[in-house]
Amino acid sequence: MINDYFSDIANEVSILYEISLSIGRSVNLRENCEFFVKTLLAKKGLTYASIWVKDRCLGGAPDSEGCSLVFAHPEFYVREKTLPLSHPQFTVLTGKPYFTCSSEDGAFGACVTEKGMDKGAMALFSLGDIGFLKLYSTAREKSFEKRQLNQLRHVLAKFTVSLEGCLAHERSLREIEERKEAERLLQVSQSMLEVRVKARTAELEESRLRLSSILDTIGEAIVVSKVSGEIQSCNRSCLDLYGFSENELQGRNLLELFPPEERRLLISGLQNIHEKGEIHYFSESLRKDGSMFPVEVTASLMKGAATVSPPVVVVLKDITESRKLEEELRRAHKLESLGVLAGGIAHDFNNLLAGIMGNVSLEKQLTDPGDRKYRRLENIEKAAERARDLTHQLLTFSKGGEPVKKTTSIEQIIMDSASFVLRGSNVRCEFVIPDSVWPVEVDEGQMNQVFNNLIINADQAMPNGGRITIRMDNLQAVPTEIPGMKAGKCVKISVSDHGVGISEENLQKIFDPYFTTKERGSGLGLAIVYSIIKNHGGYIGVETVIGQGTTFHVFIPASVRELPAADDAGRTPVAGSGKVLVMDDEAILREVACELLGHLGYSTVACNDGAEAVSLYREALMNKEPFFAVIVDLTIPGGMGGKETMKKLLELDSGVRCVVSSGYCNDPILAHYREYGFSGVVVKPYNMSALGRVLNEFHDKSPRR
Amino acid sequence: MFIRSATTENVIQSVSRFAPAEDQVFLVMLGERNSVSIPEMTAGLNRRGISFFGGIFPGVIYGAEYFDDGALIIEMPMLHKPAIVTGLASNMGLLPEISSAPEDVDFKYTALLLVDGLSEGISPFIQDLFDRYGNVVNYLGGGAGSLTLRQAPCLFSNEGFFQDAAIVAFVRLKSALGVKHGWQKHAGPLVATRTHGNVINELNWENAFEIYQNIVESSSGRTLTPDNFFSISKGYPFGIMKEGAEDIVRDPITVNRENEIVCVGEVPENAVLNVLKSSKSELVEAAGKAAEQCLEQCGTGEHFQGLVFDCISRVLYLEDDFTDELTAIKGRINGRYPEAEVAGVLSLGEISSYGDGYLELFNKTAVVGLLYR
Repeated sequence: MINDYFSDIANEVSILYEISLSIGRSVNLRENCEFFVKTLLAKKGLTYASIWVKDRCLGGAPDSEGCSLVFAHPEFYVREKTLPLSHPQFTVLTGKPYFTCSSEDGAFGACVTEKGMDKGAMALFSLGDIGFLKLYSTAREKSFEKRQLNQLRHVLAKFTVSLEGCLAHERSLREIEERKEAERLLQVSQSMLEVRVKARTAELEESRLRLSSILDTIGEAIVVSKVSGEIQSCNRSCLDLYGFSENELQGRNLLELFPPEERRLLISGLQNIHEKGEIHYFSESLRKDGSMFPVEVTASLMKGAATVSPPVVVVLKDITESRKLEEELRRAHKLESLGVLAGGIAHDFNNLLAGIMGNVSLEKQLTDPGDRKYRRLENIEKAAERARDLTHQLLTFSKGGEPVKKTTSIEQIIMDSASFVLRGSNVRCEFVIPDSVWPVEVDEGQMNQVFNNLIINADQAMPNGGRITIRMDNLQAVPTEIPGMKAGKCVKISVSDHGVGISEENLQKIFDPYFTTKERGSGLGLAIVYSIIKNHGGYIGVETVIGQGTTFHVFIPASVRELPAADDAGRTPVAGSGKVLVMDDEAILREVACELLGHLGYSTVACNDGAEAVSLYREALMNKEPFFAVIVDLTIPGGMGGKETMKKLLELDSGVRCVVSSGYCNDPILAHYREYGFSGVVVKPYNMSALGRVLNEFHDKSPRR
Repeated sequence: MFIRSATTENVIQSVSRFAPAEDQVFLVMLGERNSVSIPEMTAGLNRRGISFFGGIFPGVIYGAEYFDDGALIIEMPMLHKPAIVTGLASNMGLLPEISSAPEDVDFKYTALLLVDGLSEGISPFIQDLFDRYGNVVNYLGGGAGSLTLRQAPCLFSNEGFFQDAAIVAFVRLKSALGVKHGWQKHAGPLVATRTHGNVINELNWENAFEIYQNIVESSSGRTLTPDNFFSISKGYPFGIMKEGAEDIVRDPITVNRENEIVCVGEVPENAVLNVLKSSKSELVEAAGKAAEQCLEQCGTGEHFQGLVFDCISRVLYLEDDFTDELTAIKGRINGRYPEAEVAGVLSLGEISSYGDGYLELFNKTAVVGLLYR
């Protein structure tokens, strides 16, 4: 018996030993419980065991009154996973290390929180201040024996300590996890920040490049400098304008971009920029090569700069071209004013001259050329012709005055001009002409005036003789390089002398009307040249070096047409025959015209307005005695003028030969007479030769029109 | 139904001969020297729409005899289609979800459990099973496989032929269980101070083989070597101590190169062991007691079917006397239920709910079950 007793004890100790060794196999709470509970169940032949831990030990609030199931086996029986500490399952243990009952006891039902446990015995153990262990044996009919419970109490005390270790470990893990999570969040936040900074930096860089690109495309020079003037950066245009490289310009002072005499304004402007906010003025600026140019200076403090002393943004605008344009405009206005005045008196003046010239022309026919009277008549005629030329020159200024253009060779006009002007001069002319100069569309008379004036000026610039070089070139006009010209083919004519040159001061005024440095000059020569070239859609520029000479460059658009066959028309009056109807409101002119035509061999009928002319023409047609030609005055005050008359005549006779005549030599109808139905034009004042020539063309080109 | 020499054809024909019934499933257990082609049998039964599951065992028991080429066919009403669990050794043997849990039924029915007896990971698997279903059913089963101890596919069902697997079949049958082995404590306690699964590395902090050798040699008077290990060790199994019950037997079958003892079934580290010993008569008597224990628990019912999972190592130990053990079992059962068929298998490990308690894997044990309606 004794041996059996000790043998049983030895068995129990062995089992308790094995159960004890299953404690603390892992610091993981669940694994520790699993090892322990499964060994306990296997060794003790129990049905079910569960371990409950107070929530406050599981990271819950310190005043938490709940308890949670942390492990159960078999899990199949589990129904409740959390219970309040006030549940009978726990309260039955108040003040006791363990509690047991069987299904026969009243407490059993209150303590059972598992499913399917309706028989057997239950035991509850306190696990210190941590929680509880619950055991079931469905094989037992009675409660657990005190001896069995006491055996387990000591094992469970050890298990409780291991649980404390597990919970402490879990706390540490939680803290580590929390710290890791915090670090992770910090890293995420840092990464996000880095991404944002990177994106923002890229945006800023893109914005900077865009801004830089915009600044580089701006034509004005933009300089960023300190208030002291020290240059910090600049745009591409600035480098192009001043001829510096970026390295050369950086660190220089803004003042170095201005000549010493112009620096004062900039210095005072920069000194006061904080108060004024912006400075703006016009000045002369200095390139790296020492050349000067006019500049518009605008400087302001950089807006939005984060520093106490924000930099200054200086915009330097090269106004050379705008100055030129302003000058052009001013000149054009001046000429236009003069033109208005000239246009107002030219017609009357021309009519007067027509009377004078006509009569002189007739009187010359009646006078012996050896007679002294004949010479006086010639002098009168020459004076009248100069008066006519002056009138024409004045009319050239008139707005809307269009040249009567035809396709011609500028080369011939210029050579004729040079030959005419330099006859008897000690200045000789040298031509540099390419093989084929493009034809131009010009008014020959006006072009004669242009080159007469330019060659006269060149001749006069070299009183002691010398050489004039006239150079012609075909080139493609680029509007940005030749102001006022359309893009396309053009002919450039350069007239150079080696004279005294033109002073800077005078250079600005040479194209002004009535400006002259000559004692007996009219001051209209270059003004007319300017006006004619402009009316031809061309451009005139000048280069001069004092003491070395002057070159005028004339640009004239090239014609798209080919040159016509050579004109053989002579200046000798050409006789003809036939009946000519003359219409003019001025009786003197009618009379003179009829007499001139009579001398040329024509019979004439005169009338003083268009209505009468139409009536006479109709009558002649009906009588089958038609007029050979009709000469009509363009402007009839208070009556039917030339334009309306032409329409009516065309209605009567589509083959009518009608010549338009006017003292308004700049009237567009004269330039484009064919568009209005006229067959020819004769500008007042005219002489016999001019009349003979225009009518003679009708003889050559019959049938009519 | 028992077939003396099992072939593919006679198994299919036999199964087909049963009258079809609702939720019918057939347990087919074959002796390992059968002439059955499992794929052909599976295909044949599948063609007939017959639900089945089963395994190949060292032998089948029919009455008081056992056969290594026979076939045992038992028709049962099923609660759920048999579930296959594969990958036991890798602990990947996940239990399939069963649509309605067995606890929902009115009575405590039975889970028949067949495992590949040569798989590692049987213990964790049955623990998981018990964790999920608890004692809501009675568990009865054993390990299939070959006496050669070479692992091969040994379990089958409508879904195929499996190795390293388990089959769980919940059947609509009540059951009574008796578990006894008759092995008695010879020496102990010994502490398995270092183990790894089914390998005992150390006993009492020393080399396991040396400790075991000393005990066995002093008792048997024979020299124990790795070469003659099983011929002697089959008479000296280990017992894992358990309070108020027979030790759980672990059968030492071989010694590895490190002089460590390899057992059938897991030995937990720090388990307190005894070295057991028994006489043939004690074993036979124990088997009879297992049958008695089973009968004690049996309630009222009908269509009683005796289903025995008796360890093959008991055959090896008892040799010709093994039929006495079967006679003892059959005698007890037919003593109360003369009509009851007593059949079963010689298994590699036995599984049973141990009374009302923990689900265990046994060795060298006679598990007697009575299934009834």
